[in-house]
Order: sequence, then C-alpha cells, then structure tokens
Amino acid sequence: MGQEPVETKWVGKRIVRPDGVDKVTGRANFGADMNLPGMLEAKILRSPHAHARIKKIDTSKAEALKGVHAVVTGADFPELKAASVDGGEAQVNLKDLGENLMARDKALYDGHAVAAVAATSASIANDALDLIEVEYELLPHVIDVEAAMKDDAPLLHDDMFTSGVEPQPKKPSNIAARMEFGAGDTAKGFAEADVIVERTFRTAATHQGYIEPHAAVAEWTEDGQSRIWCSSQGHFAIRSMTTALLDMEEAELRVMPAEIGGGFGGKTTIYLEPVALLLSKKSGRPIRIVMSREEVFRGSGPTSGSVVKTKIGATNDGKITAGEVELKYEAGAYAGSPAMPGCMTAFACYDIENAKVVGYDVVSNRPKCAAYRAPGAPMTAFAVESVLDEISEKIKMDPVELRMKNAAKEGTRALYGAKFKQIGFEETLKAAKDHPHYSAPLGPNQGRGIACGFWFNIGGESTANINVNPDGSVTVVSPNPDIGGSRASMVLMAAEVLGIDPEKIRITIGDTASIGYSGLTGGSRVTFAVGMAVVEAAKDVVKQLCERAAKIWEVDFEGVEWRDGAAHPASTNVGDFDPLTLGDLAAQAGKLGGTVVGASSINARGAGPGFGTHICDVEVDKETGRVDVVRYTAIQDAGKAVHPSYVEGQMQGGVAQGVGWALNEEYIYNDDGQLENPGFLDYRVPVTSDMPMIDTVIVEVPNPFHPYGVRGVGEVPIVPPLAAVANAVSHAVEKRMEQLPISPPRLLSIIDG
Amino acid sequence: MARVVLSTDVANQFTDQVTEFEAEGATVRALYRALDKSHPGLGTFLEESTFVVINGEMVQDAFLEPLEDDSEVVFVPKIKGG
Repeated sequence: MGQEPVETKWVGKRIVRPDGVDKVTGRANFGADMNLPGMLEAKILRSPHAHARIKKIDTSKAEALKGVHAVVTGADFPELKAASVDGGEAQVNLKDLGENLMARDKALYDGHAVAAVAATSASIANDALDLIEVEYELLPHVIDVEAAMKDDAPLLHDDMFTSGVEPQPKKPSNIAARMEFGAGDTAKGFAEADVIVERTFRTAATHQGYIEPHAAVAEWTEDGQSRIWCSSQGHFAIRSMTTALLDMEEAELRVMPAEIGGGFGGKTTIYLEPVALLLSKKSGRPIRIVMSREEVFRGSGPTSGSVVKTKIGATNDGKITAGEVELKYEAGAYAGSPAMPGCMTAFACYDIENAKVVGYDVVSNRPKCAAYRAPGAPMTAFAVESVLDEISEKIKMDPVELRMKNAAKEGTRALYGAKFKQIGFEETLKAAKDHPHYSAPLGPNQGRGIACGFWFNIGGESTANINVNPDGSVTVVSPNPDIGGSRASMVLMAAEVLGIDPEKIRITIGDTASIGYSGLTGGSRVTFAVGMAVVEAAKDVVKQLCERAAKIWEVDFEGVEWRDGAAHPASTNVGDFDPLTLGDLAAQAGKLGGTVVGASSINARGAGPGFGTHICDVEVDKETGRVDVVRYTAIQDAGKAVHPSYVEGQMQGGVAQGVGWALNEEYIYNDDGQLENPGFLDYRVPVTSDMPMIDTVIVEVPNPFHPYGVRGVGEVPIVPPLAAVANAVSHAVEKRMEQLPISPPRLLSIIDG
Repeated sequence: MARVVLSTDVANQFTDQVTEFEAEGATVRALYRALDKSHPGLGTFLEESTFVVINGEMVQDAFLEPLEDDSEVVFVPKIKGG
C-alpha cells in the first residue's frame, strides 16, 4: 500500500510568482546590472587554437595602453594544488578548474582563456587584448570522441591514465575513466530473445543556451571583506571555488546572488569570478566582466557529444531479456563528462534481469563540458528508447504496452544498485495511453513517437530562516538562487505549515554571509530539499509560538495546537481561551522573549526518483528535410506539484530544449578545431514559432519521504524528447534516425538514401 | 550485519567482483571503517565517492545513520544534476 496524497490548503495553488513584476518591468537585477563607483570593465583574451603550447605571453604593450589598469595571465594566479574543492554537488578537481579558468602551459581548445585586461571602458579593454602577444606552438588536435580514444590520438594530458581499469594503464591516453554496471548474464538473456536490435547512436554537443551570458562584478578589499555579485546556480559553490583558487578563506569573500537568466546546469561552475577578483586586487578598483554570446559558446561548457552503442533483446510477447549499452562521452578538455549518470540512467526505467552498461569519459579539444539538465541521461535515453521503439515494431506490439510490460515499479532494483520505493512510472505510461493525443489520427508525412525518461533527483545540504515580523507578516530567507520557481514554492510550503495566507509571506535569497551553507540549485533538488528546510524552519516558528501561547494561558505546551494560523487549546480540557493568532503573538514578541526566528539546517534525505513519458507528432517536408513538431504531450510524475504552473513550465522548457537537441543544435568545428557557429544565428535553438503548444499532464504519486510527497521535476523533461522526436521522424520517413541533430541536410541525405 | 550492495565497478576494484555481502557496522561511519578493514581502501573510497541508499531511501551522506541487522545499504556513485 503506497503513501496517500497529503491534503493541503496552499501547496498546489497557482499563486502569483514573487519575481514576476520585477522581471516583466525590467527591474530585476541580473549579473551584469551591478554598478559600483570606480568600476572597471574587463575582457578576456581567448586562444584561437584548438591545441597549442603557450611559450610566452607579453602583456607590456597592453599594460602601457592609456586606460588599462591591470592585466592578468595564468602566472598571476596562486600555484594550482592537486586537491579537490566543494563544487556544491560534488568535489571538483582544483587543478583542472584553475587551468580551465585560465590556461597555464597549454591552450586546450578554441576559446580557452589565456589572459584578461581591466580598463576604464570595454572598448579600451578590447583594444588592449589585441596588444597582448602570445607565442603559441601549435599542436595536433582532436575533436571527435572516437578519434580521441585511438592509440595514436593527440594527447591532451600526459598524466592522464584511465581509471576504472585493472591494472591501471601505464601509458597515458585521452580516456579519463572507464565505468561499468552489470546484473545477471546478458549472453543468456540474448539467447532467450526472439528479437534483438543493435544500433549505434550519435548526439552532438549542445549548449545550455541560457539567455543571460555569464557575468560577474568583483571588489577585492585588503581587509578580508571582498565581495562578488554574480548570477549562478549556487553562490556558496562560487565562494568555495573562488577562494580555493585564490588562496583565501571562505569568510573573506561574500558572494551576492543576482537574478539568474537561465542556467540549466551551465552555471554550476566558475569562468569569471576569480579572474574579476584578481583584476580587482591588482587594480584596486571594482571589476565587471560580462561574456559575449560568442564567448559563452566558445568558453563555457556545453554538454557532451556522445556515441552510444545499444543492443536489446526481447521475446515476442514483449519481455526484455537482456540489454547492453556502451557509451562514449566527450568531456571536453578536462575529465568529467556525465558518462557515469549516463550509465546509471540507461535502463533505469525498466526491470531488466540481464543488463550491462559500460561507459567511457573521454577528453578532446573542446570546451570543458558542464552540467546540462539531467546530465548524461538524454543521450542514453535516445539510444535505448529508439531501440525499444524498433523492437515494438518488430514484434508488432504497441510501444507503450512494451514499456508497460517491463516498467520499473516499487521493489525493482535499478542497475545502479538502488531499489525503488513508491514511484510513478507506470502511472505516466497509463496516462499516455489514455491521453487523446495517443489515439489521434496522423496526417500525411506525419509520424508519432513516444519515449520515456528517468532522473534520480537529489537532496543534500539545505538551510532556511524564517523571520516573524512585528506586524505578523513573515519573511523567508532561502539560500538558493531561484531558477525554476523555488521562491513561490517555498512561500506555499511556509504558508501551509504556518497556516497563513501566502500574501503575508515575502521571500528573499540570502547571500553567503546572511544564511548558512546550502548546495547548488541543481539536480532538481531545491523545491524538494530546501523546501524541507523551509518546512522545518516553519515548524520551528510554530513550536516557539505554541510555547508562548502555553505560557500566556499558563498551560502545558502539549495543551496547545496550531491550526489556521493561530494557537488553540488542544481540547476543552485545557481551558476556554480565545485563539492567539500569529499576528497577536508577533505583536507581543518583545514582551514574550524577543522576535520569533525559525531556522533550519538539514542534509535532506529521501529524494524520490522522477519518471516521464512523452508523445510527439512531427511532420516532415520530404523535399527540404525540414521537421515540424506539430503536437507534443509531456507526462510526468511530480510526486506533488507544489506550484503546478511552475511544474508545467519545467516540463515545457525541458521539451523545448530537447527538441532543439534533436532537430538543430550542434557545435560545428572546422578542420583547425575552431568553433564555426558561436552565435544564435548559426547555432539554432528552437524559438516560439518553431514549437506547438506543449501539453502537460502532471501525475502525482507521492514521494513517501517528503512531507507533501514532492519529487524533483526539472531534469526529467529533457530526457525523453530526443528519442520521442527521433522515433516520430523514423515513423514519418520509415527509416531509423541514428544521429542527432536531425537537421534538414542530414534528413534529406537519409531520405535520399 | 547490514547487507552491502556495490556497483560492478567498485566490486571489480575492491571485492573480487562480489557485489553483495554482509558487514558489521552500527552506523554508516562504523560500516565504512569495517569495510576498510575487510577490503583495504573500500570504506574510504565509498565515503568519498558514493551516496548511501538505506532500505531504499537515498540518505546521501549520513555518517551517524544507525544501521539495523537487516538494513540494506547500497552505495551509488555521487550524482551531479544540472
């Protein structure tokens, strides 16, 4: 028997978003909006070469230019230590982080930062960049992941020895790590299969494509009170990474969160902050650095391109007997692709007795990849869901039915080890089958695809403060930047516990000096984990208010209960007292011991996995190769949608990004390893006119470990679209799509054979 | 005795490919220390590189979490989201 949904008064309501007016009026302050007296503008010089040894950097002419106040290169940074540093979700290799921030001995990709200039204007800083003389020794480069794995491939790091291989190789290579997960006996499983499909799929590197380029303002002070203003997915991680690279104590740096214009995982690391702070130290002036869009593409992390070989066997009645995946992910110039979660998510939707997944994390001369929404999962889902689609065709079984027969459920042990508790995957499949979209007729040249997806969701360290103001209004302080609507969700959960109208609650994002440490806004964790911290802080407030009511009434604490925003006698036996509202108690706070402040610091546990099922219809123009998505329905188990509009927004946003990944987006390099499309004119993200209305269905199977049943929702919706679109196109043209993006020229060449 | 579940990778590296076995430990921290004794380096590796799932609940990092005799403790690679 699963956990039943919790009845709520406010959680689940569509209140007006707290950041809405600021954003539509242009009043919101983003990373580039900060101005300080005497502030200088800084620009970064980037390598035009894919792979080159830096023999010499002469900055003298730049430094002599009128208006230039400081120039820094890698040599100005403290020596990089072999250590790891807190990156908000996991430890980060400090040496790689520092070298990616500013090249030392070698430039490892087109766009790798090699120097920075601070000047009185951006144009002077740009002029000064032209005066910096860098002597490069060009080295052979490698872009493609499979080429980078070859024995004779140009080597990026002569100290990289593949981990995860026993014994560890003595010869260096570009393969940073090999990983493996397995269960059962795949040879036996394939022998039991009536049908086996094996294919190799390829996806291109794609950028997160956030609207707001990276930006930072920094002010160094000699008395240990430096400050940074920036938009990020976690200002505590910005603090830890910046201070580690500049040999500072964390208390010496205060990081202020700006509004964030999209992150999708790409703003979980640093590109500018230590550079700005070092330039500030050197010049004695505040510094602002704002990336151009070209720099965003060339110098900040996209996700990995991938090659995923997949083999699945099934019986004619639809039981999957075995599955194998071998995936190769581009990490960019430094180790750390999402190959591991790619492996872990590959078969997570299904209960498969015999399975094996092997992954490779491979470096090549591309920008270091960064997290991108459900990192690693969309690529393996593209492969697995495409093969399942083909199997359903071969055994003439409805594709939803095939998935239903093999669906993970409570008690299923995922290949990565965990045994699922209450999950809602089957419910999403049932909702898909029952949806009118699934049985709607298709027009000429149209095809329909379905695909499913999974993401773990996580918890982690989280804090919250709640201040009860003298007039009975309430201020919530959250430690996490709001990317996907967390402020509204926190307000709703606080209102639920406090029993007051959300209109009485305002919320702010605290900086690193005003609230305790919290992990990143990422991994679909904030509404779940920080929400739990808010619930705990609100319970702390209620406890204090009840204690005060008990003292006023001269009864035991147990004789007081909190409901509808007021303390009440728990029973008629306690006595006949008029309720004391939150406002009554707040007004007397000074007489009752001081202001009521609720606080919570937790390491949130019990994150509930999320699953989604998507239905996509496309229409193919067989003369031009253009694909139009004509109808799309996304179905997802949210556990409990705290603010349904935001959940729907997450689902629609994930679909839009996934459609771009499927149809148009890709990094294109020339023979010299230079990126040829670093701008939105040539790197084509879907725009509103490309997309139909994305219909959403929220399924609510409660997460038994959250007070309201919440699961994370932000990552799952980007997992199915690659395969959903590809399966739809495959049916429309009756040829299997094995490579993304399915751009018009690629599709035309497939149609033409 | 808690039941320990490891991924293939970790088992290849530390336990001669044995992915499930029993181990002593009244808390997660004690289990790490016990695993370090029985399989040198395993406890430290798990502490640094994995999240802990106890009886199906993702507890991530939980040094002091008590373990029962029938607890199932699964170690999964740390997950980084986007």
